[in-house]
Amino acid sequence: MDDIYSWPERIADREGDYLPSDDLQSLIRYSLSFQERLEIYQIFQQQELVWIQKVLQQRGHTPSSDLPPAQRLLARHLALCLRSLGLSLLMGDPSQLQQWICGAMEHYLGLPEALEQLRAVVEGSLSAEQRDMLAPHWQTLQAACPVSQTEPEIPAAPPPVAEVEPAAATPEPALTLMEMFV
Amino acid sequence: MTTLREILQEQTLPGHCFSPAYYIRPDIHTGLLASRGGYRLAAFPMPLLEALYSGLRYETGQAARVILYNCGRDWGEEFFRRFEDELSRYHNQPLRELPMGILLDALSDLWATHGWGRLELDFSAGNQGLVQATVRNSGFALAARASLRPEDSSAPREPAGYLESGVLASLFSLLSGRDLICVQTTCESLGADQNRFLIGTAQRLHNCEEWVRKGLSHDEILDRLTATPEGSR
Amino acid sequence: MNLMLTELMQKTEGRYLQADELKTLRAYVEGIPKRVRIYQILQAKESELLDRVIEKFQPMLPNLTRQHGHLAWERCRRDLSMVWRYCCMAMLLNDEDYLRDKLLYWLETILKSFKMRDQCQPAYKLMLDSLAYVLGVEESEMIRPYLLLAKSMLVS
Repeated sequence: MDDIYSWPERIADREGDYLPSDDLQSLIRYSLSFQERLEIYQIFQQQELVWIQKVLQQRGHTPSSDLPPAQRLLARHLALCLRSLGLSLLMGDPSQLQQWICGAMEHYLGLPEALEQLRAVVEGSLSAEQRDMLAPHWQTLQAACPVSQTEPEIPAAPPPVAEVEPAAATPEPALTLMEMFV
Repeated sequence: MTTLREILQEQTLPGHCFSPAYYIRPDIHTGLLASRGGYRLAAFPMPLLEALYSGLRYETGQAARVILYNCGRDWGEEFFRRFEDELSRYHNQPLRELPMGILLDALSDLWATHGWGRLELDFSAGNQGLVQATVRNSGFALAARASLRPEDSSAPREPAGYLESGVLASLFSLLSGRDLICVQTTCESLGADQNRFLIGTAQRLHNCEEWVRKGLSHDEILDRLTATPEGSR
Repeated sequence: MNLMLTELMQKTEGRYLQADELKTLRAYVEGIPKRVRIYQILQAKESELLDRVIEKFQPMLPNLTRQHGHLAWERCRRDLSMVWRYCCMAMLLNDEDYLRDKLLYWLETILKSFKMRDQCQPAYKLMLDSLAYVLGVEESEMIRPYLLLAKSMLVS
């Protein structure tokens, strides 16, 4: 049940020809597993809040308090990851996840590490079969969002997104673009 | 107070506005390419860009660089309007209220999605009023190199990303509300591994072009700019 | 993936599918095994169908090789085979746009520019007429709409 490939690509590869029997078999397998996919998708929908709450707690946020800006952004990104994972699983098509962008912002927010925590939390709420079904989709997403910083040079002093939270209560907030060119 | 529940209640969560998976929308029926926000796009063949470069150089000589820089500036103004409109609509927030990180990633995505290369912005010299931009795999530098004829090889060689310099100057002028210029210090068309740009006020960068012509490296130029007394705030 | 699903993915960026969207998706996905079964039959019967079409078509155009060279009938068969295969894929995907976008717009221009529309017209009628002889009722009905679309765009 680990069929995971981009349908548009397969179809494009066989344009003007017939799809090979393997592809047809995996289409049938996809169809027959749709109900299970849908069940996982609906668990995502129901548990999104609880799961993300857990991850934020693990990262030191107290549940009842107001979310600071960086946590808000992180929470939003985590939810976006869950929704995209769910869609990828439901459609049996990882193309959106393959094009996932993990920018400087997500690295700054610690999204790759938070995703690992989220995965552990999610997997803890699923059965072994459900985890297996989801695993290749996680792999695709995490490949696009790797934990190790692969960039050769990491700016030592203020990272390029230092002013990500203009409203944060740091004693000396970073310059805004306007102030920079005085 | 913003709670997690409130965030997740948002019907649609924004991700990357300019992600290639969503941003460019072709329509074979009308022959149009449109962007997410409905702006018309058109694929620009590399040989056409090469021909524009060599044609301009042949017809106007040294003026070509000024023409291209100014074209870049004009383009940058329109480009900023589209960027602002699409990004603020997508995030449902005015551009100026968006976290800087989102804005910078969006610019970088926009470059990549259009096939212009990988843009990175470095604000480490921000206190000296300088933004450094780096573009790898620039299609513009590639076209500039390909457009050179054998007879051009004897002419002194300078960085060729005038269009990019112009567009970056405009973009940052409009983002910051200051009139800024942009000078390119290294260029893939000259064999460098990346194109580097300095963005700042004309006053701050006034010796820069001269230093580039004299062959100073990016770091040497940056050192000079940040070492001068007026370089510190 | 078919256009409907591509559009669904596009418009559901960043959110969960709504009930009506899930219903549409489920309806297509649950129909896949049947479509695959029919697709395999259509693939297996291609040769027999085209033999029959060409056999009946040849007497209608006795001068074809004189006009278009000795490979004219091979090319004719190749084109019909192409149309058939794109129709089959479109049926599998439940997507008329696939057929239109990937083949018909292009082939329509070719046939027009070579002024072949009138000459090719009977071939498409023969293909439609032959369905009943080569295929069962269910398969014929599943592929017919796509062949009709091809006929209407290419030769009508």
